[in-house]
Amino acid sequence: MKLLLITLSLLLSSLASAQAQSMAGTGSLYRALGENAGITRLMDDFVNRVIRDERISGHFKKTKPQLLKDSLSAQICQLSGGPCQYKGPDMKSAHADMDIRKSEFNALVEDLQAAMDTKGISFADQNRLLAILAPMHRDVMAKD
Amino acid sequence: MKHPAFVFSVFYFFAFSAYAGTADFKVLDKEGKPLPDAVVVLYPHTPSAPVVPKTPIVIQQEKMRFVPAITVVPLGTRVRFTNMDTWDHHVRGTAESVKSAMSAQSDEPNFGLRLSAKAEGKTPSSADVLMDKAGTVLLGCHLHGSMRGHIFVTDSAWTAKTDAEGMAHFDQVPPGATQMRVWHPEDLLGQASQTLQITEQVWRSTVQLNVVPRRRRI
Amino acid sequence: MKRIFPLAVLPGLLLAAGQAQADTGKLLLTGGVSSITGAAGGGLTPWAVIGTNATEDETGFSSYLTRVATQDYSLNSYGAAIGLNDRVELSLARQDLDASPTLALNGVAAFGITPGQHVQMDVLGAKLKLAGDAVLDSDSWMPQIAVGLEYKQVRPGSLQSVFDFLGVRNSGTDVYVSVTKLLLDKGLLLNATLRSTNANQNGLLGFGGNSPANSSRSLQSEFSAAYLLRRNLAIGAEYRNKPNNLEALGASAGLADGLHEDSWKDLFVAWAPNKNLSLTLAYVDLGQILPGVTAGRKQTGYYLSGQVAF
Repeated sequence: MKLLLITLSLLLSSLASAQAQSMAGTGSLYRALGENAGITRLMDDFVNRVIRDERISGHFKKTKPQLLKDSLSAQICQLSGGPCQYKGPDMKSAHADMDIRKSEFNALVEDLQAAMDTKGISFADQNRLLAILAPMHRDVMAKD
Repeated sequence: MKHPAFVFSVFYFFAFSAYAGTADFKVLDKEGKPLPDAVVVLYPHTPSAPVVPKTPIVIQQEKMRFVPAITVVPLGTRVRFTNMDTWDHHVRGTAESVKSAMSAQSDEPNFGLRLSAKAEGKTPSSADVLMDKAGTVLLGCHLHGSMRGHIFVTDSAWTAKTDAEGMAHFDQVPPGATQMRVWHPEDLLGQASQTLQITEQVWRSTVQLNVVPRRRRI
Repeated sequence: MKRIFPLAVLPGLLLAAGQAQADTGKLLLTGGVSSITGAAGGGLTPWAVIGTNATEDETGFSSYLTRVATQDYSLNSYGAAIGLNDRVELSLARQDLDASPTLALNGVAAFGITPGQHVQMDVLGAKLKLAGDAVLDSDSWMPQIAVGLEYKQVRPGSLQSVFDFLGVRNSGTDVYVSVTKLLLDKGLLLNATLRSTNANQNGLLGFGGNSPANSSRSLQSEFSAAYLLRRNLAIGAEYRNKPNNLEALGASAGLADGLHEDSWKDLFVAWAPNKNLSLTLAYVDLGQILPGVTAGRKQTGYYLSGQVAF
């Protein structure tokens, strides 16, 4: 019972410190990702993985990779609290008529995780970014 | 006569009415279901050129789509591309030949239009293109690879697009030997034109294309 | 169920071999591990996640092998599960408990228990996801919600005489509802399960009982928390409340608190070296199990489990 209490308090204190980190204000994730330069490098790696990922590369056959990298960099910059203003299409419009499956969405997440690993982004910061992007699954996989 | 990819069944209806010379075509897909957005073109014994509209025909870019996706216009029409989205589009049009439809390569576009994003409360940006060659034009967007549309430029007054029930209707079709052609963007093999003998009656026939319908998940 | 069980595992193994190249599906560890009754979740309690690696539009398969050993008892468990469309989970599990300490019950009455008696229990599980996405709905408090049932059949061998004496039945069904939420930005998974059960010691001591004091079916709450240290490594804790149906019965039969039942707890670490394999090691505290024959010892020990999933 004592051991259980110790473990629970350890869990709660790590939770508290994680909470403190995320409450450091918007922009802290932007800085953790390496700001504009870091995000650009990250999206470069990510898009390169995605277009070579056999599970999903079919969806990107007609995509111009550099345009996608630029668009994603602007979006991530804005979403992570950076000073960018994304002016492109919303996620629902951007993925209209693509018939994206859940397994394909998950494959993309894995590619993003691999890219973040390569760029040395901490696991905690990775999850903070994923937590911002994850709700987009409703728009990306919208069926209409 | 039977063509492997082109199953043609004819049903005759005899109706003695004052409206002689109407023709109704029902177009079906590979599974026998109604195929909308197919273009039926008739070249009757006495042909007639289509009337060129005085004002441009508008094709909008809206929510990452060409609206309408398939537009039928008479030869000589001005088509106006209008960007209704809040982001830029770079519309490209390529005249399709049989060769380009079947090969994986994309031809050099015949026209490219940079249309800037629509600002709230302001008029959208647009540009006109003259459709001066009969045939089909494939529309795309350089910025957004998934955008796809078609323009069918016709030189016959008897051209119609099938509706949701796959029906195309023609009035006042002159009797006699008539060339009929059916086109659909996903009918990659293409159709040989068929000769019909239209008499002064209500003409009805069904055409089945080798088109696999795009399955939409519910 | 005794006969079909081994046969049920075989096609699953074949399917697994054929699907060995299946690479897509769920994100790592988001299908949970296999609990000791076969349902996906933590080691001791089911979660609202649907097991296997299959996500929407896919069918997945998993199988596991678990061993638990405490001071006086040891339990082996193995089973298989199928995940359909990330919505339905069907599982089949077998538990094999070495109940040697129960030999001492022969001293209480002429039960005729044979030495080294094992108790076997088969569990047929079904789970249905009702709503939510534990992982991706990170912008709301909405958890993933699932309902499930576990149909259990126990074969006590020579302990049947004890079962008859206690008036417990040899089969029973647990029904539960689970809510699971991954707080993605914190890497913390939380689960709460509410279970309606009349099982004694998860079913290993039969179902229900002659107990006059309480109705044998009750609602029990179960909790899990898991913290992701890395994408493939999690630590956590579970707490499972249990009914205590037999203690009063035992007391009225002169056994004092010999049939007392405690809650189960564990502290675990789960590691997934790749998408198809996960290993869980836990310290378990199963409280008293038949304290009457184990001198009231608290049963603590290890839990070791391996799961293969496609």
